[in-house]
This record gives sequence, structure tokens and C-alpha cells, in this order.
Amino acid sequence: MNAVLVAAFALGLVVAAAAVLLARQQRRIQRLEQAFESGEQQLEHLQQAFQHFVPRNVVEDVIQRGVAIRGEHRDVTVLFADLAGFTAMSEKLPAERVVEILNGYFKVASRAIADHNGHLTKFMGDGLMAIFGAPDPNPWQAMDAVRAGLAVLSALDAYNAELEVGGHPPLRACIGIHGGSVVAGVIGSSALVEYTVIGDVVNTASRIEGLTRRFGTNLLVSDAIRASLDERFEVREMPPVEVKGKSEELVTYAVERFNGAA
Amino acid sequence: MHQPPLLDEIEWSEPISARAVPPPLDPELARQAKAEFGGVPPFMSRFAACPWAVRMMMRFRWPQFAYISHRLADLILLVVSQDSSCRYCYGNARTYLRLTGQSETRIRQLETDFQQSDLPEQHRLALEFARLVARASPRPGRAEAAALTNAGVTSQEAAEIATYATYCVLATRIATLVAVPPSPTEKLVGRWFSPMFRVVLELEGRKHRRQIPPQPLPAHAIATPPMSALFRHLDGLPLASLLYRALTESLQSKILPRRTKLLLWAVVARALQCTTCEAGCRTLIAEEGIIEDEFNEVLQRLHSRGLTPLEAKLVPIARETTRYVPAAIQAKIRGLAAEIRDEELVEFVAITALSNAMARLTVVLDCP
Repeated sequence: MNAVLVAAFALGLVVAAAAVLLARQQRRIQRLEQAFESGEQQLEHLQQAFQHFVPRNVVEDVIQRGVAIRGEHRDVTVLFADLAGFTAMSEKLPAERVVEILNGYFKVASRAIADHNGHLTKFMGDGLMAIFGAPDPNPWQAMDAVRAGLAVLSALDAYNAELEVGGHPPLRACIGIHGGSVVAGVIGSSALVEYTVIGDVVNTASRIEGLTRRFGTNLLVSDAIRASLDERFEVREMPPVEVKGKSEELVTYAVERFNGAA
Repeated sequence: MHQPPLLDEIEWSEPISARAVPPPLDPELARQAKAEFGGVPPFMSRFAACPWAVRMMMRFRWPQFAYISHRLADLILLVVSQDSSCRYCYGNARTYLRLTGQSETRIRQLETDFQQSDLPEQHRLALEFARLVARASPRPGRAEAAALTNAGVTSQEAAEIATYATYCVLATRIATLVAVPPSPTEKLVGRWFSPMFRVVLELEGRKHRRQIPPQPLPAHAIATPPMSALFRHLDGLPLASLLYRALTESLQSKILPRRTKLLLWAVVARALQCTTCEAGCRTLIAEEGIIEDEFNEVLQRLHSRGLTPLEAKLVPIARETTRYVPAAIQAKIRGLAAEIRDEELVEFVAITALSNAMARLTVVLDCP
């Protein structure tokens, strides 16, 4: 009888110990699951934030293969946009207002660029750079870039009307576009990376943007870009000019309007 | 892995409806739809003016496979529809998985990172391959095909995975371009009576979701250019014969002129860098009297003085259908809907959806 009681007691102990161990194990698994889920969420947020700076297929590539592995020659069209006189204007305004006005402009400009298949690569003060034809190939990149430039100007008109209500003088955008072969890739270190393009095309596009002030126009394109446009684009040839870093004079065209469907 | 948008994150507009009441569905098709669906689904009525598109949708209602499992196909639909941000198809794929017993946790893991899931390696590679085929940029190459082969996937299975992925693209393009509203069945998930649907769906599945023997394509499909090379590659796949029928019927339809449809197909092919499809259109369009220079101009500039007023409206928007940004595409289609006849719009939607599928599928030709 005693032996049965002892055996039952021992069995009870074993069951109780097993139950305690099981409960502990379950709590541990739960904690691990929570930690895993929280880590996963953090990674997800990080990826989403990263995608604001780098195209999605590049994000995947970077995650799978690491930074500093991508680099390829691509034919792209580069658009530079800058706000004329904004720096001087900003010195007279409260800092919050400067940021607010600038963010409003970047919002409408980014939308216009994305609507025309462009990829915004960087903001530089009150300027921005966008590329067309990378990372995804785009056979109509020159046309898209010019239409994006016109859309930025049109969106800025609407934004200026809003600013005028608040008593702010209108902003004026200067846009330069050029295309050709570049090296495209993820550039930077583990601390800061960006998907961008490098090459003479970029410098030339920036110089063309600079020429808009000299010619008093808003949107200038290179000869190479002009060659890709059809008769629906109204353009005006500008006098050839010498620019820094170029052995030959640069021929540019002011784009007045697009007469096709929106 | 990149995180495509989850169901509630997709920007989706109101349905793009006809200006006038669409015509009633052809009586024979209506009868078939009633037998299949218990009624005519609203999205099918929407395409009533374009019978070949309705027939295509009906044939694809229960896709059949010779090599891959239906369960893998369910996952391909989930991954591709999520990746292409199609609110309607993604919602349906998710609902089907939930109603057939998949837990929310498991589906969420597939959505957020299927590479880390407990799926067999073959399935994970298959899903990645399907995703690449559906995106077409970057194209799946020899490395992806070799990974599949090394994992024991046969070339027929790979071709069927690719074909089904592009079928999913076809479905997502149609649903996206007219902004089909989310299915009411989504609301059934998680209700106390939802387990009953599992029984119903499993019974229905037993009838329709069976592997069938390979189905040879008609001889003319694999012998007649311009897509003979593709169809030769896909010979035997049940889905390939459906695609071939849809392609043939689409070009025979009289709503949009044949040359217009070929131009639209060529533009989609150029956007997706499908040189095989582009060459095919070039051959066929020459028979329609379009000269080479004009064709080249359209492809280069999405414009030509030789385009009809209708073509001038459709051609620039055809290239937009390759993008996976629903809100932007739907805004453009809505604008188009206000300018053209409804039957033209629905045929435009169906033909560009089919062109998207054909061009993306052609990438399998590049795989060993």
C-alpha cells in the first residue's frame, strides 16, 4: 500500500515538475516569439524607411548581397532642379517657415517626377536630382524627363498660388536635363548609402540647369534630349555657350510646352 | 527581403465604371457564369461588351496544372498579387488561404518574408522565380533557373510556375485597370461560421483542383509565327492552351482594329523589353499596312502622325499598364474612360493585360 502511495506521490512529483518545465518552456518560446516579432517589425520599418532613399529592387539586392556590390553602366536621363533666389529669400524668413515652404515644394515636385516614371535620388539644399531609366529601364526616358520637368513647373504654379495667400513671393524653378551613359549603383558606406549615378552626364545636366538663369528660362535640355522629342514639344534653340569642363560649346533648347495629351 | 505593401496599405480607387449601362452578358456566357459562380459576378458584367475577355476570365476560373500542385499555385497568386499591389486579387488570394485553413500568422509570414518561412526549399525558390517572372525587371536568368533545377524542380514545372505567375499578372492587370472593388468574401474570414466554408471549398476543390495530364497545344500554335517559339516551350501546359486561345480570340475581335491591338501589344513589349513579342508584332502589323518607319516611330515616341485619334489616346497609356502603382494607373484609366467608348475601354484593358502576361512570360525563353 505504502509502495503504491510512494509511487503515486513520485509520479505526481514528476508530472508537476514536467508541468512546471513545460510552462517555463512555453513562456520562453512566447518571449522568443515576441522578440522575433519585434525584431521583424523593426527590420520592416527599417526597410520601409530605406526604400525612401533607394529603389525597392536595390533594397532587396543590398539586403541579400550587402552594400558596395552594385554598379553598372546604364543609359539614363538626369534632371536637375533648383529654386532661383531661394537662398537669399530664406535668410529673411524664420527657419520653420523656410523648411515648411521647401518641403511643400519638394512634395509637389516629387509627385510630378514619380508620375512620369522618374526616381528622385537626392535633395541638395533647395535643389533636387532625379534620374529616368534606372534602376528600371525606360525606353521613353528623355520624353518622360521633359514632361516631368514641365509637370514640376506646372505644379509649382499651383503651389505658388497657395504661397501667395500666405503673403509669400512666388518660387521660381530652374530645370536642366541631359542624358547619356553613366555608372549607376549603390554608393556610400555602411553609415550612409544612396542609389545614384555618376558620370559626365550628371555634371552636364547640372551645368545646363545653371544656364537657365543666364537665358532667363525655366527648362533647358541638351541637344541629345532634344533629338528624342517629337513635334508636340515646343522648343526654342538657345545660343551655344562655353561651359566649365567642356571643350566644345554646349547647345541647349528651352522647352516651352507640350501640346499632346496630359 | 523587400516588403511589398500589405493589404491595407494599397492605394486603390473607386471602380472605374462605364458611362452608360454596359450591355447584358451574352446569354450563353451568362448561363455558364451562373453554373460556375451561382450568378454573374459584377466584374464579369463589366466586360460584357468584350466577350473574348469574359470567356478568358471564365476559363481561368479554375486553372489546371499538369506539373505543380494547387497549393503552390495558391501561394504564387498570393505573392504575385501582393507584389503587384492588386488589392482585389491579393485580397482574394488571402481569403482563400484563410478559409481553407491557413492561419493568420502563417499568411503574415508569407507576406512579410516567405524566404524565412518553413516552406520547402523548392517552394521558396518557386515563389522567388514566379515573382521575378511577374516583375520582368530584373528578369530571371540562368542563376535562378539553375537554383530551381538544383533543388529538383523540372523544366516543365519551372515553365508551369512561370506561366501561372503570368496568368496572375493577367488577372491583377485586369482588376487593377478597372479598379475591381475588394470581394465581399473577405468579410467571411474569422467569422464563427467560416470553418463551414472550408468544407465547401474543399469539396469544390476536389472537383476542380486536380492535376491533369499534359495538354498538347494545337499544331498551328507551335508552328505558326510569331509566338511559336514561346508556345513550343510551353507545349503540354494546360494554361498555355488557354493563353493561346485568348490570344487568338483577342486578335479576331472587332471592337478595336487589329492594328490598334498589335500596336498596344508592341508598346507593352517595348516597355518590358520583350524583343520576341516586339518582333512578333512587327511581323503581324506589316500585314495591316503599317509601314516600318511608322511602327518604329510609335515605339520610339509613343506617338506618330499616322495614328488614328483613338490610337493616339491609347498608345501612351498602354505603357503605363506595366507599372505596379495602382493609384497612378487608375487615375490615367479614369481619364481615358471619359474620352472613349466603354467597349473600347474594356477591350483596351483586356488586351494590355494579356500583352503584359505574354511579354513577361516570354522571359522563360531565356532560361535554359
